[in-house]
Amino acid sequence: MSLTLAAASLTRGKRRLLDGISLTLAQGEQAALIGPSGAGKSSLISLAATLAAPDGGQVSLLGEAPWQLGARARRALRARIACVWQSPPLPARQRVIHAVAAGRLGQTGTLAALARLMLPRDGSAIERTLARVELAHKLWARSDVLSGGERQRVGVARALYQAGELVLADEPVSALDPYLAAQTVRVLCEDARARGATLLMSLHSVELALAHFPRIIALRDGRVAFDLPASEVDEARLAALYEGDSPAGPALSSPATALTPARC
Amino acid sequence: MLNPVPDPLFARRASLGAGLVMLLLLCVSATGFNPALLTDPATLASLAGFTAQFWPPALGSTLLAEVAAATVTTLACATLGLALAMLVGAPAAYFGCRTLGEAALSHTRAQPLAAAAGALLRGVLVAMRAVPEVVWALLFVRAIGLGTLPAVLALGVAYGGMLGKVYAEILESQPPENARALGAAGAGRLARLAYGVLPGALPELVSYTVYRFECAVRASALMGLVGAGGLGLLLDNSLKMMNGAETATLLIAFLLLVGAADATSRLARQALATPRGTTALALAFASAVLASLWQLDTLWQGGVANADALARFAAEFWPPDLSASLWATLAEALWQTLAMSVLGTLLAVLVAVALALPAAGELGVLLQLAARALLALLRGIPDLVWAMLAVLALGLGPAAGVLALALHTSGVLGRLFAETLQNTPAECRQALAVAGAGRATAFAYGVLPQVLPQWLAYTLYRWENNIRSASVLGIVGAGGVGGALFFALSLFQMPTAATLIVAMVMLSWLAETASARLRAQLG
Repeated sequence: MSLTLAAASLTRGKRRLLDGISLTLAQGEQAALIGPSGAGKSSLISLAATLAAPDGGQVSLLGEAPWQLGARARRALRARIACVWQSPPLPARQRVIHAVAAGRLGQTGTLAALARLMLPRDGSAIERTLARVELAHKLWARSDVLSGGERQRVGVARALYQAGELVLADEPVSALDPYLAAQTVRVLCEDARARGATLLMSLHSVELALAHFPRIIALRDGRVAFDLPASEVDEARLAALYEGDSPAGPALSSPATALTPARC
Repeated sequence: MLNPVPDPLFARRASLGAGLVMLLLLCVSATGFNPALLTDPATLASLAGFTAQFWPPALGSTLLAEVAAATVTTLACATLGLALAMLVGAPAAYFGCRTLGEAALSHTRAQPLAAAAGALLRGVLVAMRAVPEVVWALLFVRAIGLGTLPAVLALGVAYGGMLGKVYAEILESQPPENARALGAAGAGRLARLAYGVLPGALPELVSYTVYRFECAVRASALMGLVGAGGLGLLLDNSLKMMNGAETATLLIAFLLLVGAADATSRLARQALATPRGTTALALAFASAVLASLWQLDTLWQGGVANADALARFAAEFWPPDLSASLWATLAEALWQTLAMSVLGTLLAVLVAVALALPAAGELGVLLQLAARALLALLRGIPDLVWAMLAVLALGLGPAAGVLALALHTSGVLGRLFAETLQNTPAECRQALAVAGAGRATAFAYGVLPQVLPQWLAYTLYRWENNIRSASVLGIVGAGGVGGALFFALSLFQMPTAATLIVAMVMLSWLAETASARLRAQLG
């Protein structure tokens, strides 16, 4: 199993962010995570990214229990998990080539990584990676001159370059226009499939989730509301899931029958 | 495998790096700074003998009484010096402030006479603050003799120039509409100030003055090094006699005094928040001035009446010496000063980075406390005092100046660098850590790009400051243009001294301009 949560809970202060979540993703499986704002999507991703340890239940990643490992072994495990963050953590003034190269810091020796900052290496591979998100021309640009959408795609390129066995993405296309959003989700799906990697992506847009993922995991109030194949997700379930969310929420406007079939 | 995509910045960076190395080598040869000298057994032995005496510090009752009296004198000098500076600076700002003038009122051009007077006033203020306060003290000691009066005058002149400029800037930063509306209703200049500008500007004016008081205490404690009384005089004596125990006592007293000034300044700024506190602050300052006058009164013995002597002394500086023989000395002294400031700053950056990492808590709480204490000590002791200690270790000359600048500056920069690190958001490095990056690489890829521009800007600011410092370190024998000035004044070669002072001021002006250009390019 690539990712297993067993009754995992996460509490911050008095707020229960995740309440006994259990789910399993098999090797090579692809799933989308949906749900209203505050449902716990980002918390679940951060748990799977070892950014947070559960305060109840178990987390197992790529067959290992990260919080029972020593620091060195946990580092090695982390190097095999690639993450795309909603607001990409790119330092201002860092050039894009370094921001993407940073994806492989877990696989490079310290001295080699430091030397790369002076004499950039592997430029053509990084350029090819950037080309997959249509940013090849930004190889030498500084991160702080990029637009919000470009920064988000650099974040995607970093994860592609890292080539993790488990790929986690937290709203990776929130700053992109509909065309680029669909394009970027497709690139992440195809990359994972080609390498046999497992992919878990949280998405604000239900249309994107249904269009690209065979499996939909829905969260509400820190619990799993449903966990179904995309074909079984209908309008009634979605209405219940987003009930009470803001009227401008992402609930489907078109009838469920008009949904494009899952392509992933 | 070589990178097939060439880095467009490579050529620029390589030439920049090569240029920096060249500069470093030039500076090393100009100052004769050789770190190996510090490990010379003979030097080490004499230094160890001297510092071994530091513990325990001398605590004899005679010495303590002397230290207490000198501390009071130092405080009194600082208070009176600042009061004098306010007497100079406030009217200068009142007349120099552009938004208060008739021209600003009606958006017309200033009268030629008023414009010329304004330019003259600003020029005088520039000259007053461009000459370092220690140099002013040196000049006043030569003019009216040893004692505390030169210290007060020096602070009054140098800080008067600063207050005049900053007060005017603060007044000008206020929204001009208020003063203009009052002027349109027929209010005079003073009324426009009192009703239209002062209410908004007062907190900032007082807060800057309080900050200057802190600086005045620090400066006043050093005036004794040129014979102008206070703690510095005692320190000078014990260092010349190589009395380690006494030196330790005086250094501790100095650090305590600076710490107390720092705390007072913080308290005063808090007091500003309430009207009651502001009144209390004003009363406290007024009584401090009166107490200082009473304290120093007996020491002055009619020095003020000697205005004649002062005028005659000033006249001796004209005309400046422009003979060919001086040019060679001048060029060498200026180059040495420049080299000292550059090398001292570069060395300080290395030490500061090494200490900023632990001081920002990167390596655990224990090392953080140790690094912070070390940084506080390094910056708490002024560069002039470091220079006196460095002269003992390395002998007279610019090498001691380099060491002194490096030690003091590393304390200042280390603290600023650590603050930058602590203010940097952690997301970038955290994201790299969960992707399996190690501590060093996560730091290099996630934190360094964010802090580097700020570090560079701080370094340039500090270098500007160090040019000014480097030009006075010669007073205690640590090379540079200050040494030549001290020499000329000792021989009563006033025209030579005039040329040297002008050159000193021009060097620091050039450095300021260059540094401002570089900082603008960093943007």
